[in-house]
Amino acid sequence: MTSRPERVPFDRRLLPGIAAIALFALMAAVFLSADTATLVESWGFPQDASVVASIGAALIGIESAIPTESFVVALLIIAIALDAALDGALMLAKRDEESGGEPVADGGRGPHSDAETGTGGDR
Amino acid sequence: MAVLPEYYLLLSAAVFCIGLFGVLTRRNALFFLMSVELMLNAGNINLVAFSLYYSNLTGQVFALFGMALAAAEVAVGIGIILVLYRNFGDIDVTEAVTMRW
Amino acid sequence: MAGIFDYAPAIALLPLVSFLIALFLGPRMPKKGALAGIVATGGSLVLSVLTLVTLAGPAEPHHQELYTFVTGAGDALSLTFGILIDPLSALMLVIVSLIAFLVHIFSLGYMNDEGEIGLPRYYAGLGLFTFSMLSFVFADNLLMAFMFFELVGLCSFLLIGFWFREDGPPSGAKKAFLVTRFGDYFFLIGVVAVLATFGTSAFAGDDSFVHMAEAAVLGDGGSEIRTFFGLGPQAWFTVVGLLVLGGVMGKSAQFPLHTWLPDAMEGPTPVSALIHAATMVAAGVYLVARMYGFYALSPTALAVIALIGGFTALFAATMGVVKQELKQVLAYSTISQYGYMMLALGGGGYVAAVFHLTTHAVFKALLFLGAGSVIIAMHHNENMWDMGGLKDRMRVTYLTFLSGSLALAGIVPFAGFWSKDEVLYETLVHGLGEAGGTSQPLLLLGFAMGLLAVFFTGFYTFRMVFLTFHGDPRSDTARDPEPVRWNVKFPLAVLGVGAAIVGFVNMGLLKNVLGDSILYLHTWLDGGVEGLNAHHYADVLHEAAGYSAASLSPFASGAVSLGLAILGVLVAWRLYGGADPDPHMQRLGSVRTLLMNNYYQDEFQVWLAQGVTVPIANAANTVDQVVVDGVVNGVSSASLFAAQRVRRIQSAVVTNNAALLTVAFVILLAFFALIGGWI
Repeated sequence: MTSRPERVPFDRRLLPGIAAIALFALMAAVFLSADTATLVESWGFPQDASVVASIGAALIGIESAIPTESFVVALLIIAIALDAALDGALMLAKRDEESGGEPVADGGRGPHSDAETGTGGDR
Repeated sequence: MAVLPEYYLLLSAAVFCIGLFGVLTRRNALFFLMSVELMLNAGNINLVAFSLYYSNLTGQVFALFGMALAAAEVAVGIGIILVLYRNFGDIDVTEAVTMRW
Repeated sequence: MAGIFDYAPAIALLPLVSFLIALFLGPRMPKKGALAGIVATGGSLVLSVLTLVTLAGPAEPHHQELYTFVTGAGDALSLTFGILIDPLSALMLVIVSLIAFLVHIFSLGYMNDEGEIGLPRYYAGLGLFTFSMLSFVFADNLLMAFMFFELVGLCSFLLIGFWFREDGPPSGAKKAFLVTRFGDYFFLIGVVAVLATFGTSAFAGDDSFVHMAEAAVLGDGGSEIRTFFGLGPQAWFTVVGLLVLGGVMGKSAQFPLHTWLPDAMEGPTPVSALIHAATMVAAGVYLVARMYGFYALSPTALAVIALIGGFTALFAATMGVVKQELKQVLAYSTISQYGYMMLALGGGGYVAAVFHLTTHAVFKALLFLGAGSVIIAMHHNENMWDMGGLKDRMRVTYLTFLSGSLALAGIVPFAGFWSKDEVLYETLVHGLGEAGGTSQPLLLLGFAMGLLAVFFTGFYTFRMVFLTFHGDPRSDTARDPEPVRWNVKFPLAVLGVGAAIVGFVNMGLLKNVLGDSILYLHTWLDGGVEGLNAHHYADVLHEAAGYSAASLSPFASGAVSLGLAILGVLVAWRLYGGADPDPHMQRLGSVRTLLMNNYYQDEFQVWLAQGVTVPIANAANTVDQVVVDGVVNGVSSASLFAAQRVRRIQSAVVTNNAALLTVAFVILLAFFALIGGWI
């Protein structure tokens, strides 16, 4: 037995949403009054070229049917970013140890703290 | 018969504002994240649309990267919500209000 | 030798050097700085006499600008230091340096031989004072004169409070400084008024303010001066003259600013002799004499001066008759005699005032030094009722003191007779002259008060002499007084001879008999810078102030004043001349109480400070704290309150921040859309 979906409460908490509606109204007004005649004249890709293959070729930096700039460096950076995000999520999800967490900086408690501090909070 | 660019922009603006509406009114942190995803995807729609009109693949590649980043951001966001739950006992964003005057 | 004028600054700078020597090297010197002071004042005396002699030759008066310390840009005024050596200032330089020299020698006996401590400070104070007084005398403009006027006031404060560890001297020093400072406040406003009106405060020359003022009143040159408050030139000059008179009255101890002088007797007696008898109190009278061309333009100011002078002369003389301490009698005598000088200045007798200034400096310094000698002998007991019979035991002191007393009382042929007679004569003839105007009754009133004071002067002077020196000794100390040495007797001797003969420089009484040529002082003061000499003043007095001299035989007024003086002496001899005089003043009862309490002037002034000034100051303080601070604090508390309210935006709810962000973004976008024509 599942519980019914939560009803959206139509009360005072929805009041800030008016800002979003106002933004939509403004953007709609601006977009609909724009002149895009020059844009529509020449659009679209060549009929026989494979768009997806070209995207893949651009990502790894080789030539393809639809020439475009190379995104190799961006690919590598995104790979690193995704990896970092994964590690970050793992680190956040770990429980913080209750006892023993050595502070990285102890505020100068004394000479004996140097011997124990070592590499701080990298456990 | 081509679709005029204004309608793509209008679609993108609508999706963005729906996402914004969610950010402004939702109390549950996970729904907050979902709304942020909507906003990111609105930007992607825009990129792809203009890639078609300018006959340039850069927009579509960029949209791919945007999606990847959105995924990364969600991953970190989920981690933050986890820590938020641990510290405040609830994922209601209106409950975590200690950084105030 | 005309080159002597090049050394004119040295007259004042030598005592300054002795001040520095006494201050820094004094503790190591055998006499603690006295010798430096004696050498310096001796040098100043020599230079002053040489200057006097040179000026008496065919030399022109010397006016030299030394240093410009504020240069005005373009038409604005510039402030300078300069030297003016003319007959009046040369005479005063000699007087000041002579008295300073003798006082320094006397101090060897009064201070060094008595084993006083802290003497380097004493001699440094004397040196600084002599420097300031000499600089004041040859100042060539009013602002420089004001600066040194204040400096002599400071030195007076330092020297009166020399024995600061006791209770009396610091209180006396403070009172002297405050009372003279009160007068100097008006003087300062007067200096500013002179600078604002004339653009210059120089005394001499065609671009001096005296000359410009005369041109404005008598001639047609009123274009360069500015008067204030819509007053005409003569009325405004009266106001300015009365403002400067405030400082004069403070320094010369005229009513009502006389209360400091009796308290100043707490200082050492040589200080009293130098500062409070002969030089500093003379500074006020000297200033009026220096600016006499300016004062002569305003009959109102002259009448005020004469009235104040005559009243003070009588007022102080009545207080002097009941005092029991030697220096107190002399203090009130000083106040009274300076009243005579002011009476002379107001009455149109410029030469008479300067003459009395000269003779008074000599005989009053003599009397104070004689009193100092008696005080040494009596082991610092000043009460005259414990003295007596000292004339046999202290011959030199007695004879010189007697010479000074005869001069003070005005007995012929001693100095005071000639000068006091001249003062009264000039006032009388200007009071009786034709076409006088409204100031004549005031001059006659001043003359009457001065004449009455002659009787009291003779009386209290010889009361003092008889009680101190005559009769039988009334205490053991009087029977066996401590002997004094040559360093006390030498100045007394010099001044004693001076008191006897200095009157002969201007025997006005005999001018109808022996001719005008015997009036040496008058001739001396007639030389000098055009516009600053005696006959010019007489002309200005006649034209601007309407003074004219009645023709009256000088014998008449001379005989009356001599008669009154001798009467006073005889009454004193009758009451106090015996072997064991009674304290006759006790029989006056409540009158004596009034006089002993100085007409309650001191209490009145204290009440003015506490009862009037303190509440006003409290009210001003309340205004400052409540109103001014209230406004400032109110601004800050308004700011704090607003901040308290505005910071509530910082609720930590994320969605609120997002909402604010969105709203701001929408507004900004709408603004740019409208401006940029997107819509």
